[in-house]
Amino acid sequence: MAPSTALTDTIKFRQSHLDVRPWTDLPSMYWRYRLGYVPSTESLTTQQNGQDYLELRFGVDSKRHPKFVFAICDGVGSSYRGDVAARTMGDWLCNTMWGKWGDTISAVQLGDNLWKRLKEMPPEVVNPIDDEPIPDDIPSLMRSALNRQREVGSQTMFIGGRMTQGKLSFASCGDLRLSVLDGDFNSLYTYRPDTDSRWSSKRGVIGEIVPHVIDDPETMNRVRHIIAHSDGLKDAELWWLSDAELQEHIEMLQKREDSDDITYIQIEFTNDLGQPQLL
Amino acid sequence: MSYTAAATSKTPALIIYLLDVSGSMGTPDIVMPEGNRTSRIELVSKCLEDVAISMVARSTRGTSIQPRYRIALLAYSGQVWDVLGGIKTVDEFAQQGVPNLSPQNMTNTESAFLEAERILLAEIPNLPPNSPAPMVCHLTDGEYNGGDPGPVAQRIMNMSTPDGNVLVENIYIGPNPLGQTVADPTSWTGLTSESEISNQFVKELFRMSSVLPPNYVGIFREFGYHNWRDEARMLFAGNDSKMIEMAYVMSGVTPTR
Repeated sequence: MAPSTALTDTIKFRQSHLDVRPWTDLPSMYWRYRLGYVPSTESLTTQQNGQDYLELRFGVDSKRHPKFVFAICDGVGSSYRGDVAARTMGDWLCNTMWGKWGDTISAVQLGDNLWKRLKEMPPEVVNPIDDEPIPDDIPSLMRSALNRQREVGSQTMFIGGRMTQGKLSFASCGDLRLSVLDGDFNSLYTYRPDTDSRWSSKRGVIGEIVPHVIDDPETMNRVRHIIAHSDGLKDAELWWLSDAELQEHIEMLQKREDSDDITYIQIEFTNDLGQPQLL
Repeated sequence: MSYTAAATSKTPALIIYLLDVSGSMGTPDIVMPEGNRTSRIELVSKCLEDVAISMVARSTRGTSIQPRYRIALLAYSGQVWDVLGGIKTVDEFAQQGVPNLSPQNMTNTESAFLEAERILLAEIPNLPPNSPAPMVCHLTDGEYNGGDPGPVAQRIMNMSTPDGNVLVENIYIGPNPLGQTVADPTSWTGLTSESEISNQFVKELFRMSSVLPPNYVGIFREFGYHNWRDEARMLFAGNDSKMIEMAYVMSGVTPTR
């Protein structure tokens, strides 16, 4: 039997966490979720932080409509402390999207607004990333390498998603995957991954943020699945796998010598989203 | 031959540098961006440090270095010196630092390639599965004394691994030997044919150079060298510091995670 959780909760996976969670029902909600967070073999064997970050929040808004936000961030491994950038961005995205922000805006406005906010990210958010100390007792070549990385900033790619009041909003940037599917697994929206786009703590958004909003009742009523994952899972179609098969697939990829951090989330809806229900 | 294997701590990329330290490498004819001149060997040392920093940066997770590269550094003139004292992982190389190089006498290029071949023959059978193809990066400033290195270089390029044949890159330092003027090396497109070269020795180096695999071309372009052609050989020639810097960058483009 699938485990159940509280009506309002925040789930965060980062650094050395390791979990593949089967379908989890939410009492009184009309969706369920499953997720996986598995650091790369290299991270595990060398006891280093994974570079991915996953956060999922769900609850009820002031009008008693159910809502959730999620963020998957993939820290750029060759940047300075990509793990810190991923964690900071994930937290910031969820905090930003959890509020009323975005309730009434179009996709274009969503993208512009997010771009502006990221460009003007407050110093108290960015400074701790850039101020991550370089240890004293390291060789000069490594110090030079870290200083060179720090010049271009800590970097992360990200996907943020939000559902509230019969509306889905997404913002995607970089080499991550996102699909919205109907009940027959036909695509209603697919984000095309982009290896060049990312956010840098020094330079802001490099490349582009791709916003997407689904708010017409007809399309919303067709939405049954949201799937998002980091590039460690490649481009496999995983939504139809059973929990056991998904776990087996993730473990197979994770055992490869060149495995990358893997983060996966799938949300399945049981009701039409076009007519938001009160809880 | 996919050349898709990533350099990881369990499947590190093996890179062998062959550095000509013959007497002529002391010639101060390298044009720096500021317009001043420096000696060939000083530029080689600087570029070696730059590529080491780049490899360390690409091997760093958090604040620790993953051993994603293994490096051998052979300097040669009349004889061959193993500068690092064996193959070192990039974290060991970072500890050790880039050695000082000083000009010597002769240019026995063949002996350097023979030593690289000996290392590869010993290493290739023991490479972990899914390792990237090894790379040999040779830097010289002139014609060789002694035997012809061409046949040894061909044998090396024919050595196969599951990821692909061993790659050989050549860097010629000297007055422009190309049949074209390269105003901005960062926008240079590379060489795809011997007819693009006017110097006989550099034509020989062309034949001793591998084509940069398509998967590496993309990574090379990410470093800012956007105009590199798909079929261009791993060969650089000139006395502009930016050209030499670009050549060293190429020696570190094995994919990483």
